[in-house]
Amino acid sequence: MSFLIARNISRQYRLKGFQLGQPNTLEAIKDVSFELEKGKTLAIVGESGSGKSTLARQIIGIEKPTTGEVFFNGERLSFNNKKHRKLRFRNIRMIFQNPYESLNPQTRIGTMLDEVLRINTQLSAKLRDQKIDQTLTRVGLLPEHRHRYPHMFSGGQRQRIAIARAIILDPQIIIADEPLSALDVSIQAQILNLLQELQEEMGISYLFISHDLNVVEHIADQVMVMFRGEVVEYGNIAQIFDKPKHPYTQSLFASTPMYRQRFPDFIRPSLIKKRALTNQGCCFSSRCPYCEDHCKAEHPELAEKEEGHLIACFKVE
Amino acid sequence: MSNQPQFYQQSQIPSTINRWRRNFGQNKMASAALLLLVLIVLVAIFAPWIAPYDPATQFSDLKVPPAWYDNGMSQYLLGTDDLGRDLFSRLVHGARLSLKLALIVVVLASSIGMLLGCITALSGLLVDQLIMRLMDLILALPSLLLAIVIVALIGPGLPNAIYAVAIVLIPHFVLVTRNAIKAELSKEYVTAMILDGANKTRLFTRSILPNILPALVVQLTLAFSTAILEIAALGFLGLGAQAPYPEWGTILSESHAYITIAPWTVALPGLAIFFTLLSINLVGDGLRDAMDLDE
Amino acid sequence: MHLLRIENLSVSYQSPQGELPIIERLSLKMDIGEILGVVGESGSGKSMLALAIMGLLSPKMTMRADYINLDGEDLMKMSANERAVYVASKAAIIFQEPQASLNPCFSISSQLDETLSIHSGGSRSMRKTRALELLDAVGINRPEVILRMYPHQLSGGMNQRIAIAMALACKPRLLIADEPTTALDVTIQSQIIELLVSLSHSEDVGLMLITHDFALLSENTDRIGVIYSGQLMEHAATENILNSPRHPYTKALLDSIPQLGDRHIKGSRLFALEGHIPSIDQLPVGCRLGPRCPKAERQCVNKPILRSIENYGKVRCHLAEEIADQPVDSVEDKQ
Repeated sequence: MSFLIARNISRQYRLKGFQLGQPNTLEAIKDVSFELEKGKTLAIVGESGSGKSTLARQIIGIEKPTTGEVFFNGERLSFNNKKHRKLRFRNIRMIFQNPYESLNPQTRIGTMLDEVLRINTQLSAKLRDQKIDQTLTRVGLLPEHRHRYPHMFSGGQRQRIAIARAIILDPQIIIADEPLSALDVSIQAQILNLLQELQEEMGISYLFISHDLNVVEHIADQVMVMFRGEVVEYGNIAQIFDKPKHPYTQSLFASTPMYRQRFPDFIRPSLIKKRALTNQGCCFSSRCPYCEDHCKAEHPELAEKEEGHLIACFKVE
Repeated sequence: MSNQPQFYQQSQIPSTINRWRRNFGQNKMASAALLLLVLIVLVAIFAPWIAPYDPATQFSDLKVPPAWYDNGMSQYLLGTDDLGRDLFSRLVHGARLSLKLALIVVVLASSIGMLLGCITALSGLLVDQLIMRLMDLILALPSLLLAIVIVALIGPGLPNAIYAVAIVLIPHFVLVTRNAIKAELSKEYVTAMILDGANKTRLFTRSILPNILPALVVQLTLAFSTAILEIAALGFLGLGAQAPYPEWGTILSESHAYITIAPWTVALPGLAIFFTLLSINLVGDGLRDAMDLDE
Repeated sequence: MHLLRIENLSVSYQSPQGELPIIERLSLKMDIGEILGVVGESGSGKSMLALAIMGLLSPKMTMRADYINLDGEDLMKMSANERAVYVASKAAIIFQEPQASLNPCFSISSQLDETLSIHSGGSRSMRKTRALELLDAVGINRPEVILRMYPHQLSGGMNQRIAIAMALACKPRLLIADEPTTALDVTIQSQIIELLVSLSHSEDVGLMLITHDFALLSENTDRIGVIYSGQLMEHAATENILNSPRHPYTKALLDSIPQLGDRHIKGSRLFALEGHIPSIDQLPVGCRLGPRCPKAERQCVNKPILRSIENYGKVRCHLAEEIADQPVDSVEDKQ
């Protein structure tokens, strides 16, 4: 049952300054659509500049998309509507990438969690305290930790605090923007386990942004691959990880040592000479090993090549 | 968490906002400077009771050296000047005057500056640019020179000197406030707070204010020191406090002609200015270091 | 003949609380042309190891060692100046942020030129030719154009290539790469690592690849050293470590990485080491991994020493022999 639906989200930014011959708008994301089902994880994969963080900002409501709509539980969410804002902030929560930047250094974490509850719920002080204790314990910290400031915690612990902040309102959706990237390998495993446990217990859906393919394979149900603001491939985990079709997706696998044994035929990016970037035609034309002339002129649309598996490429039939 | 037998202890020591105080205390130089500063402030507050004489009273004992000299007199601790006024009383009252004037200047400059800083940080491009270019204009000119020019335009005297020095100090506050607010707004935890549903007031009190406070406090301290120096400089040039005010700079302007005959009348006010400025600057530096050391 | 031999290197930090150990009695060997992977998490001291070898430690650090033998000469026997000159001619380092090596105020050509004039000399035109050669060797397409540009005009990957070119300019015998790809995108990461490996082979330069990412090392290195909390825990050939690691920490690191094909199975968990790296001022008694080690026993209160295991390598663990017989844990329910 899809209950978060995004349709044709685009976001353009007006660039400051003026340069002859250059467009003065930046198209950060173009025509992105997806559907998220209850209790499932949709992973968004892409490198820097792919627009994944911008997309997260549009969905959660920090910014208003230039075009496109977001539906939650069938209801269309408006950016300006106060009621919708409250609904969004309560039900769609976010975990940021950098645990060292996402917590206010001047606020004790207990106070921070208490404020979240005070703004968004009607719970009494006693119930709030209980909820805070419960949540801290649930993420693997101790209730006593509420008196501490963020700098007294390690990176992994801070990310647990960030998770506590996200789950304390019992949200239905959590957007996790590269939650593991800033953490050490052994801590990544701890946090990933925690996120999985929480999903199984609380039925939370995740919008999981990551560039780490084997983490994505471990946790995702659906995968959306983005490049330069556009969706190039979309499918379920088996489709993407057994038979990836788009050349960019294939290059991602080819760049990751672990997956080279599974896909020995995929061409490594190092062997491709880069071509000039264009605004017309396929977004990947500058780096695609199969690029032909018509790829540079026409823009391939995202099309369903098999059930549930969408690819934007002329090569794939 | 772990049900393994705990062989080892890993203790944690929670601390509070007082870690700033603790950090400061560990800085020996800054702590000593603070003591000196407190002493000076106390002298300034209790000047009427500490000073043995009225600073304007002229005695017949002219140009008497300080008491520890051979021909000094014990009733004039630091000697007298060319008009027979007790130097100790003058300096003590001078402390009161200098600090009072500097306080007025800083309060004026900081309130206007912080207000402008808030406006420019939170406004659109046009307003921001307008105010910032105006500030650039003021900053481009050497501060003392600008103060002199302003006083030359509006006339010498104490109130005008205060306005002039305040104007010169405003841009610093504008810059500090604007930069601190802008830096704060771009922080990820501010975004997180907005997503938690925090309204603008909450954002200001919880996030912006506590995080710009360190920078502002340091700026206030250093502005104080600049104010004292500039007022003294204007006084020395005869453009600020006029005689017979016992402002340190004014004292210097009256006595510098006698530097060879009665050097104490020049050296002692100079030392007073020096030690006051030194202590304020060291305290300001100490505060800056203490508040940066978070982890 | 060894390229690098370090015996009992200790680096400590002078703090108000006393001397805190950053690296403790670390011993390591590298052959000429070998590619050594150094793995450790943040706070393990791996970056300090690189700085110690290069002589770039801050004055607040003290460094002691029995010997540090770089290409035949013992660095500990030299004066600070001699060491600086010698190391500069024999070794080079690349950092995580290319911005650390490149000065934003100067063009690429002037920076390369500066390095070349110090290390190889020659006339201006000779240096220019050599600069173009170096840029070509690191895979830059139009070196003449790039020479005239400034670091901020180029991407992270490009800047890192230039940093590598500068490192090679001094014709080093040892190249240390401290997390060279962490700040780069995944597609560029593999390109840079491939570049480093191929250069190591073609120029016969020993490469010490420092990283926290095990996957990067699996295909490229000859041997791997695992560092935890300032100590070398394991040092052996790559296949040995990846197939049958002997140290619990190495095993834990390998187990925390989701395995290939390990998909969203309900209830499955990765193996995760509990707790976190001990802080320097509160080190555990005995084995540093003790409080977190799933295999810890009574004897672990005694400090283990680095000892050689037959047909394997070196391990710092009391239980090295027993661990060898256990398979690498994969999907284990751990709660």
